[in-house]
Amino acid sequence: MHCLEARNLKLSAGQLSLDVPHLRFKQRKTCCVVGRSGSGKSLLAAALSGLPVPGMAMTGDVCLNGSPADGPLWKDHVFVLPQEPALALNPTMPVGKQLAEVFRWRSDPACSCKSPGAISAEVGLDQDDLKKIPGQLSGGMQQRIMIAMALVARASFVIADEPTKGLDGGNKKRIIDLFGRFRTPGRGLIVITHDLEVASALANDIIVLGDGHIAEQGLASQVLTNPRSEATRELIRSAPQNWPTAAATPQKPHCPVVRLEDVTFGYRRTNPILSEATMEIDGGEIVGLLGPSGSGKSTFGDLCLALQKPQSGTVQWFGSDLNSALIRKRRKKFQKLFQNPVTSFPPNLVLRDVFDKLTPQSAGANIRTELMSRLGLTDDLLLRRPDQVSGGELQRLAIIRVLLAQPSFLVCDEPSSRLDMSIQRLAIDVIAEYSSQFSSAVLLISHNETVLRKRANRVFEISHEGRLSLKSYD
Amino acid sequence: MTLAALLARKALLILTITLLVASCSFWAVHLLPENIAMQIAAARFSGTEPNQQLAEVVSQSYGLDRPILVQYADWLAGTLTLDFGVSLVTGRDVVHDIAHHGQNSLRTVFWGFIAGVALAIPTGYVCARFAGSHLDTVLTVFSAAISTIPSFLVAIVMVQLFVVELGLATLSGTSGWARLWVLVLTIALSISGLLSRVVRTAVIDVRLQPFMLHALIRGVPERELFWRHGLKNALRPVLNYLPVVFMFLIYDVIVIETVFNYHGLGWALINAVKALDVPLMQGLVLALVLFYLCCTTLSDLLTWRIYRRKAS
Amino acid sequence: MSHVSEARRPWKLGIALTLLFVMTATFGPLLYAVDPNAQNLLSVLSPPGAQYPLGTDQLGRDVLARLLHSARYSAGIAIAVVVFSIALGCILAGIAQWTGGMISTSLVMFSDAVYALPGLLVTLLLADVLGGGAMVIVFLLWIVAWPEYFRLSYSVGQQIVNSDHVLASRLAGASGGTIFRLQVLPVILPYLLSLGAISVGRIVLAIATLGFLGVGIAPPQAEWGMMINDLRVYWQISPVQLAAPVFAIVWVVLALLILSQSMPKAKPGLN
Repeated sequence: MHCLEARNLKLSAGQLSLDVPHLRFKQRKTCCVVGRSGSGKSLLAAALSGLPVPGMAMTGDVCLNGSPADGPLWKDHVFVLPQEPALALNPTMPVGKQLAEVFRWRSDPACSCKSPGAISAEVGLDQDDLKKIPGQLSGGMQQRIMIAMALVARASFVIADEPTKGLDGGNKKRIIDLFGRFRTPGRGLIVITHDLEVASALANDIIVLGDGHIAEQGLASQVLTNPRSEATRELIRSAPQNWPTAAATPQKPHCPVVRLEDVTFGYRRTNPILSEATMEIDGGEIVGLLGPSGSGKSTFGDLCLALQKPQSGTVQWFGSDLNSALIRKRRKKFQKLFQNPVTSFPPNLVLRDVFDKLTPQSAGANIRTELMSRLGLTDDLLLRRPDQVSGGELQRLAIIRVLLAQPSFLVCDEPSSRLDMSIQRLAIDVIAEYSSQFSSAVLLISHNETVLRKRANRVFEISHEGRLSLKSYD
Repeated sequence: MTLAALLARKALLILTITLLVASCSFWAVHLLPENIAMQIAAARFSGTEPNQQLAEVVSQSYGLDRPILVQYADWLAGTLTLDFGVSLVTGRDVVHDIAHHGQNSLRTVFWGFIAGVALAIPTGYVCARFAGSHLDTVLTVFSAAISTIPSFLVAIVMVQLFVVELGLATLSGTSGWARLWVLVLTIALSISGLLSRVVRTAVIDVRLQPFMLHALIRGVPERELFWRHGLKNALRPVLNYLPVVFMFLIYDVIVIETVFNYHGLGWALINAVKALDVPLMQGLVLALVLFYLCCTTLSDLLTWRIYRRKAS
Repeated sequence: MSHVSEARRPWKLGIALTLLFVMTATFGPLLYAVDPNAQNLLSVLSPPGAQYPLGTDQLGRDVLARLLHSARYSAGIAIAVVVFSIALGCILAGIAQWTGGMISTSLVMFSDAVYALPGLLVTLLLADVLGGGAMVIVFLLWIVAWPEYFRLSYSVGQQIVNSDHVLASRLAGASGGTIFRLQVLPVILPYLLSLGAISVGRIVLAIATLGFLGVGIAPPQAEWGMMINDLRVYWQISPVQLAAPVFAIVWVVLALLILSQSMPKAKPGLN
């Protein structure tokens, strides 16, 4: 029985740093390392596996079975599942051949699967998938190939760095199920994640990282139900399932802001990604839109905003059919909050210029100041360029920019799904508040069903075939 | 992209360019203020003063008195059927001249290309493996310099060094290897400079890719790593770069053949240009352009063959 | 997205060398006002001295004067070609971007076809037929040089126009002009200028090649390539006179080398 220890580790890379006095990982246990982004989770993974990270400085020891490891551990004792499976697979080699490499050079004699075909069936891939190159597989399938590799590889510990990043609900569940199998061959699993759902489903032990230190560690059940540190409480609060449910919307007169009727759309005529969709969004209402990745959720938002023309069917704003004059007149009242705040600001401009010259002025400057102070931003941020501002601050600025237009309809396309849950919650809460205050309609797009359940009045789902259906939660 | 689409695209490109070149040469000649017949007469019977009478004779014998659009259509049709007419200077069929000189050029270009690639790939690979070392710096400076200096200077230095000073090669007489090796070496040097840079960057880039590290995690031994995972990925930018190399080859053919006085397409082109022999000029330019386009098509096909993906 | 302002220092050195060349070309002939074509058959191939700082050539012409006038000739042509090409390339890219559809597709295909044409061949084919001279050379180099700028501004422009931040500004009601001035131009301009600087060098070398081949440049005109061709048989008697144009070319090569090694990389949409 092996055990992996970190003793007096001090890690730093760029602005990140992490201090680890002592940590101990055992085989047959799953340990989740959770923390906000920027808390140094990935540094810990790199230090434990011994993988080189450019610019990382490290002091202290990583010990295997009580003595400092001679040589990097990733070669023999630790198998690493990297953050982006798409980058870790050779883009020009069929994945089956890459899987076979593990069998040839690093197979675990204890593993019951003796061929790539057998193990890929275990993780739910068929023979044809093995002949494909990584670019032809979806993100979830790539991650499953990586897990198949980890299952057959000779290693005492498997470190997975954000294994569910960017995956939709269905794929996430599958990955969590597969990780359950690591316990059977007697390996230790160390999962690095910011998602408490993953942690609570998998972990025996939990380590919570605060800013640069270990905030709390202990049994999963204890840490999650009875948190002792502020960092843990903050994480638990911002997990979607613990968000307070939005107050029920008061009944309002029926006045659809946006109405779609039998809308069909496809980039190619033959296979529409959206067929015969009908939806109405009232003022003051938040409508959720759920669907697997690649199912055309964003396109649906663009159709509502008249950024795309439907192949057939009608889109109405305030009860009248769209035409170019109407679009020009109402343009500023139909806004969109982008998925990534970084790309929604021009990289070459100081933020003040964006707000002065590229933002509607109807609301006036005092409203901007008021919004900024309410979101905890100071005016001197505006003197910087987007890359000199943190992701969370930029997200808040993006919200302010959108709200300054005082939109009657707002599409939120997975707001900051690549950022922390706490920032996501902030984004959605500010918008929900605005919506109820000014009775504007909101279309909230997400692949996280919990978020939508907590915040949307109604939730629609797009299937892979492009069918739109109302979900009921009764 | 399917093979058929790729070929159709290339065929369209070749057709467009052939028509472009043919149109350019036709209209340039016909929109001139001076009478073309006068020019041809001047070029053909250089020595005697061209006069109107002579011009009319020429005009009739070349059909230059017909309506201009008829001549244009005739010219394009002739070009597309590879009938470029006869040389105004020698009176020989242009196609015959192209075939004759083309053989000579093809020999030097082919061996020059092979030698250049054979020189560039090991150089670039060594530079990449020892990136940052003194060896890398020296080779980088040398290849960057040789690729930027105009090839006529390189050629002059080669002539001076190997022919005049060392007497290891001749500039005339035989068309055997005693003469050709300097030409081939010059062409090889001039293309290998740029190509080795590209190889170096490609190899360095691919070695920094995360999938290389992960292949090591999968247990792939270090000595097999590059050949197994790096080669195919590093080759791609090199293949994408080949059109530029071919363009350099075409320029080298012209400049180096002129310096070495080697009777190939480039040498013939420069002589035709100086004699204003329009049919021969057009034929030679088209031959060179088509040769270039065939080379790029071949490299595209090769790229397609290596990296094709099944339609999914 | 990379910021051009953070470019490394060699870039500036390359620009400085190019600028110095342009300055020499502009003011050199004014400061050293000697007729480059005046022949003095009594002092043919005379070595450098008080009267002729760099000696004379095989016809007794002042090499320094010829060197400077040649620089002016090449720089003039190169800058004219680059300015015209940037103008044409950007205008056509704008049209392609604006109209889209068939016009855009055919423009892209046409520029690809011209781009796939070895430029020197077109110049060789037409330069003498059109009578030679600076204007003809400018015209011919222009018609083969513009696709590069078209492709660059089209692909970078495409990236910017399809980006979230331009869409955000459009939704916010900013006018096309404002978006172009604030979000498109400041991003494209550095790419265009650095490509332009590299092109100036390349065109100067192309002109030298034409001069060396004796195509398109009428003999009394001073030109580096032509000077090298004329003087190379006398290399033992007059090494300085031969070295002078070679050095001038190496200067341009150096500027070009430093520039191209450190210029901000655009992501060209090949094919």
